[in-house]
Amino acid sequence: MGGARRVVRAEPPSRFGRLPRRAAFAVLLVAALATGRAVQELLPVSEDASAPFERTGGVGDEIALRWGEVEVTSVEGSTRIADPYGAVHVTSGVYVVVGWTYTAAGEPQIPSYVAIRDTEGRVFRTSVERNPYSSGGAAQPGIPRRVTAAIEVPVDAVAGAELLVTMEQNPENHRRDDIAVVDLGLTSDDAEAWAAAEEPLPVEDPADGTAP
Amino acid sequence: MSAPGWWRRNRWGLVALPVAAAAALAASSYRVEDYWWLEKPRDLADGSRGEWVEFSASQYDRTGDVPFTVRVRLDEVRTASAPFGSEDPLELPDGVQAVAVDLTLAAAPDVPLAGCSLVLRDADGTEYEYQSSSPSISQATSPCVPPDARGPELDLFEGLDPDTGPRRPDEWAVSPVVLLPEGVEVTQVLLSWGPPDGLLISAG
Repeated sequence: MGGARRVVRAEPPSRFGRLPRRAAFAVLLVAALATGRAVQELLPVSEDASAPFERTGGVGDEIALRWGEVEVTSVEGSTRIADPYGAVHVTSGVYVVVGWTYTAAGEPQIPSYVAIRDTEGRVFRTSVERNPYSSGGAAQPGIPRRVTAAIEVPVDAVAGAELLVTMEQNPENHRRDDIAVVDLGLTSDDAEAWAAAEEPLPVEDPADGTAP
Repeated sequence: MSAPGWWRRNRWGLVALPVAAAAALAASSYRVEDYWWLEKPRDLADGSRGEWVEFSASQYDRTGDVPFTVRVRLDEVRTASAPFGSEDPLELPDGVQAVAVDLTLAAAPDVPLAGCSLVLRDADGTEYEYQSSSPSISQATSPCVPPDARGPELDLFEGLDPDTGPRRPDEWAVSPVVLLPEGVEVTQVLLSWGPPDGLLISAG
């Protein structure tokens, strides 16, 4: 600060002497802001900061997460499903029907977000009508809850598909929380066979306890 | 004369710094109340099994704050034989136990008390909640009032009379049932009519 004062004293400011300096300052400021913006756009900072912690596993693995444990027990596919109310749904793609067990930790909790992610990063979520999934409400900690999710996907999304499970329904709130990512072990052979299958797969209601 | 030192020149800034930091923290913590303090019962009154505890708190509805006082006694935590408010037998999956929480409560009959939550804790602090419907049990909606004489409800909807049922007795007993994994021992019972207030009763 003292240095700046001395400079001002040594070169008394004139109306013409000040302008170029101000212009240079403005140019530098704009350049600095532009550089910052470019760096921010080039680096995947925002996505990394808002990404959930992916806990990965395969079919039959017990995946431990902050909020509990997830284990996929069965994966099937067809062009038809029979939902718990008996209604049959038909798709021109493939219904992937995943049976899995969820055990809450610490307090009763509901895994609200259930989706299938394909190798291109496309995400297909459960819904009320076409993609039935019911958690059965909050599961008491330590009591395994057996649930089924049926999700309609295009045939080319089957090979390499993963099941995603977490608590928060809104994906914008997944940051800094655990998400289960289960490799369903599916191939393009599965996709072809399921795209030709016409047998309706049952979508079971949720139930407590380990499978009988 | 020498120039004043850095500390002296910046003394007012230094005085303002902790104040500004505290103000910044306070201004950015506006969600602490919603996301932490009101997330669960945190302001707890204590009691132990077999003794009456008087608990006062407040709910709110369309008419504003609805303060209440209730006296509660935890009589027993035992193995349940039937769901609360139902004659149906319990059908439990393997590895699951049903625990009945015998409570005696007393309050004025014109006080709405149906909207309460009941949580059981084990020694590790794991929480198990009263659920009126789950894949394994179906029972009365409220764990705190007699299912056939709930007393008045909170006045939440315009045009709905909040007090239609039979009069609630001055003192009554309830036995809500909570499902737990087998082998878990209940150490605490937590009753709440809305956070942050709650009543924590040791079950031992």
